[in-house]
Amino acid sequence: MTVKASNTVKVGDTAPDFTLPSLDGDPVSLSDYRGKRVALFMWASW
Amino acid sequence: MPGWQRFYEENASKGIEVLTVAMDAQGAAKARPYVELAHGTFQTVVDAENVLGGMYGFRAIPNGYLIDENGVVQYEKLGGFDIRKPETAAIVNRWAEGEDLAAPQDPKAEAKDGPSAEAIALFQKGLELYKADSVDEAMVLWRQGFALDPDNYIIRKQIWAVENPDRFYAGDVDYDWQREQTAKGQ
Repeated sequence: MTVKASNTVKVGDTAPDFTLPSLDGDPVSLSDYRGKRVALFMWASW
Repeated sequence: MPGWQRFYEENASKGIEVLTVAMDAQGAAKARPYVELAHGTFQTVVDAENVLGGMYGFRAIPNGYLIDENGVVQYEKLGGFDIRKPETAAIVNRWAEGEDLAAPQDPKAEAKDGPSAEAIALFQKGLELYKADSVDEAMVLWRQGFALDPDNYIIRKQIWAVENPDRFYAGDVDYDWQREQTAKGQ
């Protein structure tokens, strides 16, 4: 039995807000960018 | 990253921001070199716990979400979102020019289930152990997570990176080696 994560974001949805640390450790929230258009890009060193 | 920096420089004056999220469980130290190499002035945050994997519903990267000024997703691409590729560059440039992209371009992504919440919970529990220097115990939990959700490449590749740092952090990332691991089911 596998529980699926409930939130799968689709086009037309409001992007869920989050707060994560910057490279310098300062908290940054997606909602800080309200009023601007945001290109959100997920990547990793691997 | 240089591609994103160029895009940011060209479009910041239009009210466009670039926010990149490094999904590195090993933290900012692993991500920072890539941003510095690109002289990145865009913001980068670190999602060590894979919170966004569960919240947004993805289990691989690189992903892109293009979001309007009201916070609404206008375009999304799960996997293969690489600004060095002409098709990705074309999408982000059309979006930057104000073209309406608010139609689902990726029916495959629409049909996909989200990742296993249990697998992400195991990953997060394992990360606590990893941070406490109990790396072997952490890998046991990450492997349990991977077994529950074999398509979760966030978990899978993070195991590779921790156990085989020479394939990731001793020069260029060894993608041939990664393909071998995938073929072997590792």
